[in-house]
Amino acid sequence: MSELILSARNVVKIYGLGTSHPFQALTDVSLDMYKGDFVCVMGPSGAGKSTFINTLSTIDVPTKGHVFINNKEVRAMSESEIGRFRYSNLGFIFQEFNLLYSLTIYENIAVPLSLANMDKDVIHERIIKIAERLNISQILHKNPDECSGGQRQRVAIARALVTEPKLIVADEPTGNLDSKNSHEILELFKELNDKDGVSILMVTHDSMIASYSSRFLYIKDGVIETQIERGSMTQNEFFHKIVDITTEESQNLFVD
Amino acid sequence: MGIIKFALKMLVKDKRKSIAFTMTMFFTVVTAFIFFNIINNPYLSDNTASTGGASFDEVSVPLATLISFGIILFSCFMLANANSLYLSHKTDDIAVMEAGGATFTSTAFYLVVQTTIMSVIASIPGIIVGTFAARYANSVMYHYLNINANVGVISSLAYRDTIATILSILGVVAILDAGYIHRHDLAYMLTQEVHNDVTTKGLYHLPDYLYIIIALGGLIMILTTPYGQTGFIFPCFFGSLGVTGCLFQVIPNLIGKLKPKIWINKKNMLISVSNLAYSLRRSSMLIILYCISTLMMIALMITCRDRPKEFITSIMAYIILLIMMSVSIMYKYSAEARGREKTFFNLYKLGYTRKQIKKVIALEVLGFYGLLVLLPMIYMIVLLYLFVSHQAVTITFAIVVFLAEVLPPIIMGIITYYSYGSIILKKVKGVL
Repeated sequence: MSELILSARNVVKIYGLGTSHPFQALTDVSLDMYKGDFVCVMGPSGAGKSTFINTLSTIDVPTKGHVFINNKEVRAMSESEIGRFRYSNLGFIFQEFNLLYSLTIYENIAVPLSLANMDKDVIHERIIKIAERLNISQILHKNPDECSGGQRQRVAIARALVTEPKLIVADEPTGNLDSKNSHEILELFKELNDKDGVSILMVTHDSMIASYSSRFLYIKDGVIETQIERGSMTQNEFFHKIVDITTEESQNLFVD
Repeated sequence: MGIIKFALKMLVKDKRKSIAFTMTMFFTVVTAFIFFNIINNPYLSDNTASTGGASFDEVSVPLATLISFGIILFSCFMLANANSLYLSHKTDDIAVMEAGGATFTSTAFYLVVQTTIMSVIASIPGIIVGTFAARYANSVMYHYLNINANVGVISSLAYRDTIATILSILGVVAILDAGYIHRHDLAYMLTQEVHNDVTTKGLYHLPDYLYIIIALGGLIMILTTPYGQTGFIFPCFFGSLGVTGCLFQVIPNLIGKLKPKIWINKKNMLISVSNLAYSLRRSSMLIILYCISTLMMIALMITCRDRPKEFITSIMAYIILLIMMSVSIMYKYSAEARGREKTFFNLYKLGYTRKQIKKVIALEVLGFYGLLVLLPMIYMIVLLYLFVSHQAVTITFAIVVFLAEVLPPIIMGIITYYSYGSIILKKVKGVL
């Protein structure tokens, strides 16, 4: 059996506790992620997708329930332990790229490595290697605002991969990209997942992108409404299945 | 909703955005009041020194009056700077209005209403505080000049001139606001607040080595010029141009070159020095004003050493200038900090702890204020040493000037660190 990387048990997230308008973003959500899993999360706007991955990836804390990472409960971990876990096990990729604008591309990629107290030569070696893989060697000396959207997302991916993480957490990674760049990045994710065994937890709005995954979750109103495995389905079959789930509500609105 | 109502509503909603302008207006009014009181004070004025003539060469104005006017103009300039900062934070409002079909006149009117309200809010306490500050200034000056008069008597002309200055400022600000709207289109307004590019547009840039040569050249001129109290004004002005260039260009460029070699594996320093270089570039205008004005004022102050009235006026001008510059730099820094919430939140996501983030902020703030004080201080120490060694000033006076130069930035640095930290740590809640 594959190694269990992350486990969420009956997670509840309530914002605005103690105020007159508390809002329950997640209700009794559970998930196990194993090494090599490629899980895609979809759902309408405001369904709790980002809260879900933020809570699972230690960026946010569950109000109730438990999140176990490497068999250790997140709430029992100290802040420095969580920080160490993030830079050595997780790679974050976001729609807005989230690059640091006061740093060059080279330095942006170096940040998680410097957090891991790596040697200068090792840092340089790793950056050169990942830059070549992502075809961004020619922009390493530039500032983020001198790069295109596609280049910035590649840099964000390079930064996420440079520590060789066990799990990539991606929140709409192709949301700001054109279809060509989106396709290239998804191919890269697939390659990382298939060849390197990197687990991926990704939120998307696009059924086509979700069809690259091996497991699909549909969240609505803070609850995992549907969960399907790709199994032996082709990508095309899986895509149609996902479309059926995500459009079910809209289809029911038609009278005829 | 009417424009006045909308302007009022947005002013209340965006209180934080209006702090810098309102505070600068307050300081401008206080400064104007104190110095108009000095200009119009019958015990302090030297009417025989003021003469008119048929040609410009025949006009003579007392130096104390010139210094007073100079500092009033300087504070007005600082206000114009605060106004441009305010406008850069109002682009969303302007964009919403323009997208909704508002005309140029109504958008300009919206800004004029807001700046007028902020000016009125700042001017009333400004005049009240100015009245008390002027009494204190009178007591210091009367004591120093051995004048026996009632310190509580404030010239009514000080009120008149201050109110006239406020009205003039409002007129200029209205023109600046209208000009800003005229120059920028809707597309710019919609994206301006998310622009993150580091630019020092509008400044003439020299190569790095020239700034270093100018900075050293000024020092060499001071050291090689035969001693004379008036002889240091030009070298100070010349050298301060080089010092400012070193601060906003040479040092950030040097940091950029050293980062991959020295700090790439130092997690806190890498971020601190990067943010420091960014802050130095983005504060170029304030750095120029700070270095030139403080160094020039020290030279001017000691030039007036033998003329008591000019001397005491220049000391007051120097202190007010230091306070005003330090406060302006602090507000600029806080505004920058608000723009960095996301950057630090990203660092947190990458694995930085709150303790490490605090350290990054501390190193950055220390570097910024340290450099701001340290580079002009080299000039100041040389100047004070020369004056003390030629017995133009006492050691006590030199120490007081030194402390006056160093203390405000240290205090503002501490305030900046706490306000910057609280803005960032509010965003980075952390896993508890």
